[in-house]
Amino acid sequence: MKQLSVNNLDVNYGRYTVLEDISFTVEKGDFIGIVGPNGSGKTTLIKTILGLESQMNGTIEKDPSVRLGYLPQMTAKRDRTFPASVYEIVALGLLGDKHYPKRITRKDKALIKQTLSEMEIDNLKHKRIGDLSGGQQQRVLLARSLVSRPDILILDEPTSALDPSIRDNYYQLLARLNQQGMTVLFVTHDIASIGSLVNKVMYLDRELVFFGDYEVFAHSDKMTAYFGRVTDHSDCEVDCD
Amino acid sequence: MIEMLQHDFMVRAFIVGSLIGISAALLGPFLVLRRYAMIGDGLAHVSFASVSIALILGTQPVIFSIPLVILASFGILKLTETANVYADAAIGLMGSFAVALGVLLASLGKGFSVDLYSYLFGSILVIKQQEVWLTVILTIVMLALIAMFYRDLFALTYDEEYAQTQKLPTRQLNYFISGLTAVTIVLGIRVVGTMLISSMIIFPAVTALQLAKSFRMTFVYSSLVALISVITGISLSYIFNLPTGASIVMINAVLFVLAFVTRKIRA
Repeated sequence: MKQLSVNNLDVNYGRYTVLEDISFTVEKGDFIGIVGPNGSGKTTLIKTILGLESQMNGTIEKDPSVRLGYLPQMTAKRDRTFPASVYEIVALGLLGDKHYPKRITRKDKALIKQTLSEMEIDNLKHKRIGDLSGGQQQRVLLARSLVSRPDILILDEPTSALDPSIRDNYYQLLARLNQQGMTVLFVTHDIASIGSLVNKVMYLDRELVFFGDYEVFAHSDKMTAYFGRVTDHSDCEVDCD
Repeated sequence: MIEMLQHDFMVRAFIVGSLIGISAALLGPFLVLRRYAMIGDGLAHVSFASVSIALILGTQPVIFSIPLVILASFGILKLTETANVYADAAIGLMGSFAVALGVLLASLGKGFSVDLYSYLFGSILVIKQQEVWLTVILTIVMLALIAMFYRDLFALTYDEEYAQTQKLPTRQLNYFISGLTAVTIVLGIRVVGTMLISSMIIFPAVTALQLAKSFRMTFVYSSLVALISVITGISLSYIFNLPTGASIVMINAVLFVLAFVTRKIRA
């Protein structure tokens, strides 16, 4: 069942083209890995889908009943001293559907409780988010995205700041959500690690270079080219990292 | 205390001081956490210019200043949005321009230098009944608006981009919080003066941030700090014949040090 379709999408900042003629369709239950080199337009694409980009041409078709959840990139600039509890952060995920004064109802409280439990962070609900580890914080932000029960979950490199063991645990969590029927769009540099999770891959380089089954992608020259580009630092005169 | 409350001017000072203190304390966390704390200082400078204009024109300075300072606050936002000027630089531009204008006007209108002095350093003990009513009405409206938009403002403060994905009116909320700050600044210049009003926004918020583990408790602590500092500051200024505004700020500073030490001991 089609949930979202992007048709002939162009995004331009002045004369600079970020995305050109992007078209694809997202089906219910898809787990799509979005890959590509730095500056290839991955984040711009998901921000456009989320309605955060105004400099676009083309169309994005989505049934109004299809709800989007979003987990932004985890960056070091996030303020660790911010005085917000886990519970308060998760409750922010319910704001979009509410009318002023946007009170938290009993039903909301039950949803928050259930989501905290599903993410296995109910024991942290009164903790200040800045006091948690990176992995725990990312679970809290995932809970914020999930509390409104989205149909499509969009994640922008959510695991880039996590260590490998926590990352694997996180991937299992996403796999479980996908098995329960949630569609997942996942921007990552780590396609090798989530190869077993995704059913489709989108390879962007300002244009749509590849979009299709992971199995086809895995055996194509495109995959070789992609990993060659991100791992081959032999031409670097200084530390490429 | 009872003796103090037998004077009408003291009752008015406590009412106005407490209301302005709470309003400033509730705006403070939104501004401090978004690195916008100095907008209070910039708008206070603008209010100095607007008070100078009002005194030259012979109008009521507070009522005259409210729309002007609101416009200036919008001007600061507009500068950051459209002219690619950083927020702190935009605040500096607007503030220094306003002070220069105020000084020029003050030098032209020599006759009102005493009045202007009272707006520079506050004169809560000579506040008029009309100003009390204006403060009460505007503070109630502001508190109701902050309560109404509390969750949106929280979302905006924590993560503006995520707030946009939730379809919250982030741009309008930015203007809203700036407008409320402008009103609070103008009302507050009678309490502590244009030189010190930004401290009523910054001190309670920063003190609360030393102790609070949740966003809600930040507002509770911030309001408590504001109330304690205003009531103690006014009382001390009455008992020891000290400048009221400076006394309030000094109590704020003491409370901040206590909160800071408490946090260090806890850690």
